[in-house]
Amino acid sequence: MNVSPTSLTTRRQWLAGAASAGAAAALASSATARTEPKPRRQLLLLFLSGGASQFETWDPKPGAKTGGPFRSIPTSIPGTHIGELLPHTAKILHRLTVVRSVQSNIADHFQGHYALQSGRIAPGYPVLGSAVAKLLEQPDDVLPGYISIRRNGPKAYTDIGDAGFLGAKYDGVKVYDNLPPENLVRPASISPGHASAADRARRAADERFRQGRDARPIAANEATFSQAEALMRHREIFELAQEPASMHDRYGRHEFGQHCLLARRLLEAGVNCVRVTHFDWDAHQDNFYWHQIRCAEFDRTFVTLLDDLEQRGMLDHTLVVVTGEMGRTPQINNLGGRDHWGRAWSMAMAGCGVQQGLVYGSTNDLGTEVAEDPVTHGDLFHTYLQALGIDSHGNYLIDGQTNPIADPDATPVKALLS
Amino acid sequence: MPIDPKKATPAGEFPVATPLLSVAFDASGRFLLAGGRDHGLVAVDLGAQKVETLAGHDSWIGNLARAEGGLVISADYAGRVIAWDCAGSQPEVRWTLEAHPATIYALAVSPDGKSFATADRDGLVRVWHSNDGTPAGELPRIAHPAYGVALHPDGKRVVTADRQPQKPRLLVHDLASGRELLAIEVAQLSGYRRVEDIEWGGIRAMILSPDGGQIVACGRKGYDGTGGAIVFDTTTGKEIRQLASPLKGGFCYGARFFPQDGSLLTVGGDLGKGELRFWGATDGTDRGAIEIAGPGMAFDLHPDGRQVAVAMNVGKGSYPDSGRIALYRFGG
Repeated sequence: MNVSPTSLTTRRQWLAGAASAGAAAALASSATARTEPKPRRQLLLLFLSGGASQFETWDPKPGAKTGGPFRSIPTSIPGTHIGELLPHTAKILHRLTVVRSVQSNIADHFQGHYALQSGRIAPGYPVLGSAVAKLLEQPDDVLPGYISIRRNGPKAYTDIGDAGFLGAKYDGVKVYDNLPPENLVRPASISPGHASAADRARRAADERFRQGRDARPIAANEATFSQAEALMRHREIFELAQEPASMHDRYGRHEFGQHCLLARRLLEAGVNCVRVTHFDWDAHQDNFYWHQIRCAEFDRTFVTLLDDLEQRGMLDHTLVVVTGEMGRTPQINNLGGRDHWGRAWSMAMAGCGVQQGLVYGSTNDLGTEVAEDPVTHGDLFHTYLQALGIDSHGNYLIDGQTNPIADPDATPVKALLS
Repeated sequence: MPIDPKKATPAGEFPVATPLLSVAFDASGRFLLAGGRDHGLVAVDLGAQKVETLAGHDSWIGNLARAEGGLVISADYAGRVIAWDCAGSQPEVRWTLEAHPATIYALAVSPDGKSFATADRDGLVRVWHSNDGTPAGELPRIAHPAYGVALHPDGKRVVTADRQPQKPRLLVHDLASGRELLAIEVAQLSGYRRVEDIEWGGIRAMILSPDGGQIVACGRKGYDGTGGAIVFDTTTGKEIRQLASPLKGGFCYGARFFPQDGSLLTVGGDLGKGELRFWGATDGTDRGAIEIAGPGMAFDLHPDGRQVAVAMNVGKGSYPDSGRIALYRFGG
């Protein structure tokens, strides 16, 4: 399916006509048991890497010993306050679901990144983007199902997790600094005819190699080529200069703003899941300084992104998830930092399949523990999939083996779902 | 006769329920004010040995400084500045000013006490009249958060210290025109880590010598290095000397020139180990330190020049849960 990010009519018509049979066929059970043609649901994951402080964002405790220097501000939900560093978000809180009772009990970046994306502790399971790419896949999909946008900097824990047993096809294409994957453009010295001939030769070689061998690596290889080819054909998606200056200004001309603008274009072009990583939340020192900087970037861009998705008719089929791999300690250390904390923290969602104007769960007065309605990373994983119209209790069927899509010991949080 | 840290004697200690960030004597030396991770300003009446908490701020009080007319100026993380009149039986609010839209990281009073400067997270630097809090000047916004500010005794220049990644800077500005006269890069106090692309260090405090000829930049060498200070020539920008504390870990959070002998006093440390360290006036010789129970976050010299008050923090592990103000007297 050839989709331009600006050809909205075509896109919407196509979405309206898309059946769910293709995705259902990929599953052994009723994992994608959607019964009526609807716009395909999509996922936008805004990952606050390093772990944002719940105190300075969604669950402020002003005046408490653990509360920090900032005030709380009223929101568009009467009686509900959030941190003063999110003034724009406060005005649209009625459009969000906030969970103040995440209890992952993981205080390690690597484990947290994996667990919050896969819904599991045990290794080897696909991360959310890969799962969604697989579970929402359509037979005529051309673009990669999962694209991850991030800074081209040190990798560390941010790139933890992959498609696991789903295979390399669903690993996700990484986009660094808003640039399309390298070598997308055919060199001028190679004619289209030569390029086609070379591609035919590659396919023939693959076919010969496939004889009597495990087909999976070949399939993954072919999928990678196809994805690269698709991006080559649609590299205009990455041409953010096509967007008016006012749009750049609205999103913010900083890294996160521009990455979110590209994310919208990728979703618009039909990518099933886009992840944008917002870096530098790991404030072991100067937590309050860093949260002022980080929140200022996040706040305006996030609200712009939701407005833009809504104005384009995309928010009703796009689930937007805002999370990190953990929260931050109630205690403030000697360097003015907050450290890792997984026992009681917060995340937020908006868009399709989730409630609007809901603040779910609570923490105690000092924010040290969950007081009501604990939600685990496994529960969240189930909930994301349910919000996307996927039966999270279903199974993958891979090479004749079934594997639960989500942790069977966890459950979707029904109160969060619309 | 140089001040001898070994001859310092404890002259009082006041526990405070919240970790501290700032401390200042009033002009008479009767009151000692301290602010920290709380909205209340701690006022110690040294004559009556009484401690009170004063309302007025609604965020952390990061800076305090003594100004003319019996005033002590306080500045908080929400951008509010309050002038406390300490001439009466207890400190009272003289005026309140919403001085900045963002966290105030630095406050400095001019040598004559008639004006003061504030600097904030967004690199905004403003100068005010002490007596009534009216504006007296403003610099063009500097590109990085300003963690230090000082008013030169010539009344014309303002020095700022910032947190530019990898190369924290000292900038000397002309107040009237806003022109930048000199820029000094202080890479020695950078704590930049490429893995996170974050500057964890920077210049955390900065002062001028009484004659304005030297700038002292305080901070930490490297991401997890040792607290220290670097002295520069205000006119040429050349480094004069480095003052490296043998105390491992933590930051150097502040410095003062001792009026009696021109020696330099620095404060710093980490939880469970802090110090007030003395450095020779002419050669920067390490002349020893007073060990304190926790990191010295700020200190002030008594107007009589014979006492020092240190605001420090105590707690368990890496988490301070309370503060302490310690007084030391010098016989020299």
